Amino acid sequence: MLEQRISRRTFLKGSLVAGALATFGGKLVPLEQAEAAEATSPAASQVVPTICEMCGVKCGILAHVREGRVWRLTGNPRDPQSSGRLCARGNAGTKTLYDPDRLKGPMKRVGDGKFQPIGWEQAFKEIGAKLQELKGRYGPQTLVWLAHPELISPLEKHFMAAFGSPNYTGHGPTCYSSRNVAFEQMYGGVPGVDYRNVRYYIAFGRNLTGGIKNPDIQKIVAARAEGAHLVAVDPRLSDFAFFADEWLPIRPGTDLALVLALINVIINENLYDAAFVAERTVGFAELKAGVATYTPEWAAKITGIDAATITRLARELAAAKPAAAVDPGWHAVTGSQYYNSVQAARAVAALNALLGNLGARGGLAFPPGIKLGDPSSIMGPKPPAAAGPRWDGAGSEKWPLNKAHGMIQVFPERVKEDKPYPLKAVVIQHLNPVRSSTDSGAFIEALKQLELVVAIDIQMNDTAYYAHYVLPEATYLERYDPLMTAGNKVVLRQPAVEPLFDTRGAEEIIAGLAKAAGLSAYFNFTLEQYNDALLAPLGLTQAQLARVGVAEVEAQQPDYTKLKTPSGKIELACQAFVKAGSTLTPAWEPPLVEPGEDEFRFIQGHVPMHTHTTTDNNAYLHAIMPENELWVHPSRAGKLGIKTGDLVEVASRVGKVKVKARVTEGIHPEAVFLAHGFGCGVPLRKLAYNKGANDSALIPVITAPVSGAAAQCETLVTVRKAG
Amino acid sequence: MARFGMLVDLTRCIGCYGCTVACQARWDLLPQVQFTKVHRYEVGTFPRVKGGVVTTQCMHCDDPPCARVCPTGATRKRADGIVVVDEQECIGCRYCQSACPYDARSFNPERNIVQKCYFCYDFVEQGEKPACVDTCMAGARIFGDLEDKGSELSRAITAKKAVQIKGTSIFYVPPRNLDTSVLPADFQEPGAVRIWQDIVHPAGKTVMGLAAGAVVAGLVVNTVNKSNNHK
Repeated sequence: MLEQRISRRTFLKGSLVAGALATFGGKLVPLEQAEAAEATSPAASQVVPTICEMCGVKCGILAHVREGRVWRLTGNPRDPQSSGRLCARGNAGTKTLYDPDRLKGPMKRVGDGKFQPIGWEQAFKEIGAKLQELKGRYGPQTLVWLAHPELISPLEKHFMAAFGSPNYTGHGPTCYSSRNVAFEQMYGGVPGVDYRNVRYYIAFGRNLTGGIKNPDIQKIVAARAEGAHLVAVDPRLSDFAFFADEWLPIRPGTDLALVLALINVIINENLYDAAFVAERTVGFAELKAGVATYTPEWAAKITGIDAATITRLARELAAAKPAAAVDPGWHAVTGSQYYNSVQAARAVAALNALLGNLGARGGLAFPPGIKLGDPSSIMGPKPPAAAGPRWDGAGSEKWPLNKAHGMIQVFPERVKEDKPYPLKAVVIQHLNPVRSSTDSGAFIEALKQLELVVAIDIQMNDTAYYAHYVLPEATYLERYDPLMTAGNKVVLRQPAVEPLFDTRGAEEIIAGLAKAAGLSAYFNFTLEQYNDALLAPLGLTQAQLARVGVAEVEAQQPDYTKLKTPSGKIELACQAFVKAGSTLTPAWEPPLVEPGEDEFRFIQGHVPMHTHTTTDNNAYLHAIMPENELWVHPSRAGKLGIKTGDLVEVASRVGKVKVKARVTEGIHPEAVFLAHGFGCGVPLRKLAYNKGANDSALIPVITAPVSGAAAQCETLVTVRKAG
Repeated sequence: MARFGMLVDLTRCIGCYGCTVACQARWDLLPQVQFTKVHRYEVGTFPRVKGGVVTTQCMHCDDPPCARVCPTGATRKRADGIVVVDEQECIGCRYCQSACPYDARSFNPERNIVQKCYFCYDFVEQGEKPACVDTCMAGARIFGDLEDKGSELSRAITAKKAVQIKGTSIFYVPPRNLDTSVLPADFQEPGAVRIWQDIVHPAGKTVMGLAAGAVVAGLVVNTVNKSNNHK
């Protein structure tokens, strides 16, 4: 037969290019190595283009497979994010795939720390029956779904919608909620920095080269090499602080005062972009009045940064405009660290607007938009309207601005009380709130009170350890996922090897749960059909994209003259905040706590070689950094009789941990620092178990106003030499 | 003939350990065996503290002491300047480790061999870059031919005014804020190597020679004696 003689490969190649060009004039770049791979036997070498999941950035990678084993991972040169390069975590992915401590099949809890294997169908049947029972008794909203939203999140949300519960919550409040709330209201979205072209850059607590985003690193390093001036404002000598040209060791929690003073100088010395402010912003007069008293001298007393430095920074920043940017930030000052983080994020948003940098080369930018297809026609009937308000109150009258982000940190408290309705079941997917949210002890107690805890993950983490059912997901190198867009490209995650163990893709797990919970009608589609529906307007299919991994498509550049705000402009004065109980323009609010003479402010953050709590058992990354250490300034350590390497006990009002001390000049004397992601309490993860300290055990539940973020650095601790 | 070398631009390095792990994955190393290491420095007192990163690895010395002490010849310097260890020939005696002035060799207890950075010679032979260079997000590493004045490496050494660690194939652009004292020292043959090379080894040879001579002489004397006895 003729069809058989035309190999599948040749056919796809032809139809791929023709289809792509005919439909949208975009271009698909064939990946020669992948083409070659298919022609040879499975035993030989193959290169499979896919997407990394060692952190949340999702860089395009090439999985090099030899004799059925992924022996090496490299960056996909055609991916706009990795551009062919990878960080330590990305390179270490094989050690996650081949981690001997991985979950190898579904398990059911039979006692404290004791699990027994259970078949998938049995697990689905039991969980489905329990879900239906709890839904009947308490209503569908009794189910909460917690996740670090990954590519699969649309299907998780679809499950919850079908079930009838509004309670899907991500990790935002422990990460970026304040920044998002501020920029969503003032800019209509959260812009990024054009790191490649920036000439003057200030980061407030954002540890750009520590909490690594591969694409950002590549750009900022190149910009610096071309003379960009980088300023790190941080109470400790973070990875970015030593890379930057200047480190300003600010008193922790006072960044807002410094930003307000920068605004004050730029306005009073007429250094702002007047044309931009007039055309693209509203509320300048109110802002000017609002910051009138925030002089450099005022800020110097609060921050410990002298007034002359503040004035100089403001002048230098303004002189470099519009290729000057103050990072909107991520998890730090403007994200989820302080009680005043949302004010700090608002002030940063206003300061950038004065520089007129939105959409300018080297300023702030929104990503281009790719119009994907609508898969709803294959996803069953229209789900019912959610029954009742959200479990955490996000989006309610008290918290009108953070509906999309939720407030995961209030979970223990809400489980304890039955108002406005009881929470009895939780599904936790790719998240470890026992160590990533706040007050680990309280979270564990909450999990113990629930009638049904289901954990979906690739490894037994500290949260799954308390689950009634643990459902093992295939790792990113063994599964497909819903496709993603990055810049003007669409990228596909696809398996490099067959699952090593009895694990499944999350879409199969979710569909299995849905069918057992009586929601069959909503999950009569495959992931391939879902991806095909998304790709349809681009004239592509998943099978075609699988061959090349990355396809360049037409993308729409953002229109900066019509922002998604009520005025269509940047709202320097913003009524939405007034309605949420805050001020019209960014205003000073002191941090919530002040350390006493014997106390420290506890600060936490990320390191370049680990991601959250997900990589501590990765053999390569563990060997580089097996544990965290408590950074403490020599002046304070001396009084406490502590030397580097001593075991110390760190105590807050909610918990105590023991950890080694690192006495360093690189930290503000008022603060101690602990890197996040250590102190695993699960013996099944042999490398990570009991290494270092879990910072979340120390952090009390404090919810910041307006944004609902967990103010994680409003934690006071005492330190003493242990043993 | 090419002579391969590497430049590490520490003004670009962010200390992410990408090089360390890319190398480990590519050579399937034990987690505790790292060919490329990352060291972080802090100098000064609060609030005027500066920091930086220095990476270290095998320096591919011009006259490598590791090769000279290797009893089996497993460690040798190739004509293209790359110092290699033939893992089949290595007997794991670890003399090379004690001879290395840069502590750049690692013992692999599972295979009872000593390993080190090989400049990914097999990749290089195919015209590719070493794994650490290929993966570096910061573009801090440049690999190439020192003999070829037009190579990316040679041009970068000139343009960046790179510092050569004398007697080796490694160049650095020193970290900003820090002086060159944080870089690996210029090559100096360790005393132990000289003792081994100039005294122990010749003395050993002499002793062995004398012993062998004594045995031979003994045999001869014995034979002569025996034949005398027969007479």
